[in-house]
Amino acid sequence: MTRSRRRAAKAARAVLYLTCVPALAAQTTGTVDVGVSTVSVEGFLASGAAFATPSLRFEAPNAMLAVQGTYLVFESGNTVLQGSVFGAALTPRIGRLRGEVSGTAGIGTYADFPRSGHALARGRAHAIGRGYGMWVGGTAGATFLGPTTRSVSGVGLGAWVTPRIFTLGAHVQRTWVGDTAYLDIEGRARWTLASVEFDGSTGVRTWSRGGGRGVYGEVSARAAVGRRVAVLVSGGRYPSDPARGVLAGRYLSAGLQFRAFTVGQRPPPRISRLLRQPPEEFRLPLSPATVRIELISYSDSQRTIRVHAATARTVEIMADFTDWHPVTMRDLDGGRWELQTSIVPGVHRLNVRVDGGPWLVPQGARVERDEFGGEVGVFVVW
Amino acid sequence: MYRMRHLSVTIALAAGWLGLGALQAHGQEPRLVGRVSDPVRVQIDLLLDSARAAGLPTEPLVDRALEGASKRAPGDRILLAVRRLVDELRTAHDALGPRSTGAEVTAGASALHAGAAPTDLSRLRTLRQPRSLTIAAAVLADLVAAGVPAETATEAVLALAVNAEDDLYLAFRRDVERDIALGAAPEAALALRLPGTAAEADLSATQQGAQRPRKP
Repeated sequence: MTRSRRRAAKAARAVLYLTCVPALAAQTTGTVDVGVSTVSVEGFLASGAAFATPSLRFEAPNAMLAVQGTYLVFESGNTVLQGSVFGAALTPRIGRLRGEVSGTAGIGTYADFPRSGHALARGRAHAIGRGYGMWVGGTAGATFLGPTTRSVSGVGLGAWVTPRIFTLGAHVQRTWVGDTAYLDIEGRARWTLASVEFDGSTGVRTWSRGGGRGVYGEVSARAAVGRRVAVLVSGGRYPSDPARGVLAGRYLSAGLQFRAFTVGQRPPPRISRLLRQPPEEFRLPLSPATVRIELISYSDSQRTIRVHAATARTVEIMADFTDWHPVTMRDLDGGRWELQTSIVPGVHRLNVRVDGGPWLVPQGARVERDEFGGEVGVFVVW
Repeated sequence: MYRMRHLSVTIALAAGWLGLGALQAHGQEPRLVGRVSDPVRVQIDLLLDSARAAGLPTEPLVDRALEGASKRAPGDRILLAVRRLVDELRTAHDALGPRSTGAEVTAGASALHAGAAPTDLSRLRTLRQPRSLTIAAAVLADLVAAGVPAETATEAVLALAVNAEDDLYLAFRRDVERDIALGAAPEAALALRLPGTAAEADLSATQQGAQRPRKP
């Protein structure tokens, strides 16, 4: 057999492995989630919402494909329509190593915002032991909003273990989206008690340029109440996702999941765990957040300035209305900092300092060169 | 002993009062004392006097000097920044007219600094009367800073000048900036948002503006 023939035979075996073997133990499931949420997205007031999320999932030992749609309507009557597809496949095992290739694409519309979407490809190399695994990989793709497209790339590494009923995992991911860059360090736990599945995650975003900083976390539970119905409860705080063009927010959701049909057998869980991807839940598409300033209330003589800085221990403000003396802001709960003072209506200049670091311009203020070798925020008070 | 101390305190207070009067007579700005060097302070006081005589607001000039002092800028840089601001305030004042308020002149100077032309400010003054143009001018500067070409931003702000309340201007700016942050080209974001905002301005011309922020 010539070398080219041997290569062709190898390729044919790989194709057979990825296509025929999955058919031996594959499962296709169709579900519809319906429920209500209260959502607090940065820049908006909290709002109630109702959602319906149909999804179709095909799972095999070495491949999976999931298609999901979301229809959501807010109190205001504004609606979100989103659709996404996620597919992944594992290569044959070489010792303890396996390769994974996957891709996701999605598109969404919200109110009269420009249409947004993304297409991302991912490659990972897994090292799998008995009850544990590690991976290293990269992501590449593009995201768009209206006519503007930005490139997306990322590198990451992670590990997981499965002690008893738990699956515990952690990963570090550095992501670049156009000029934006950030690092996420995240831990995740998934466990099952009788007919209830719990999923929790927490993370911190740091080393960020335009991607926001802070701590986030989400929990969810799915309790089966019959063969075809499950109760879903979830809530938490999620970070911005510039790769998919979404803004940070908080939410609390409750709903029901109806299983429309199931065809085939569920594949071995340990293999499917590698491929399993959390469903792409609804996120309102908006801009990322960092240190942000806003004018929250005013009377004839007093104005209240609030700064959002999630992980700050101290926040100081220096502005024309403080005669350019640094003033420490009052610490409220949840990364909010306030200053109540007399400010006349008009255009004002300011800088904010977090934890004694450099003076910076918070989001919500216009960035301007300050003629003294730095930058100053220009802020309108009305 | 008590009487002696009382007498000395009285004398000190009187001397302080007289001294303060002398400072005010020479138009010296007390907030600059100890913040900038005396030679620089004297120069700034002269600039303040000339600005006051020309009917320009002096508060932004003092603020600019204090900003430079807090940022440890050298005296000559502080003076240069204050002089440049005097020029911008004077141009804005000339464009807006003698009846414009200090806040309007300051906002106008900010718009000029961002790239607007003096004639644009004059047109805004005419269209916006009798309302204040402080917010409109500030929004114009913000839009230019966000990447919208000055000419396009000016046309948009002028298009809203007749009917838009201040809070609608602010909402318009916020929406455009958000679209840009999401990746939209600045001009595209402006073109997308302007028709809706203009329609809302027309609709609510006789009504009070909507509350901001709003529900999604």
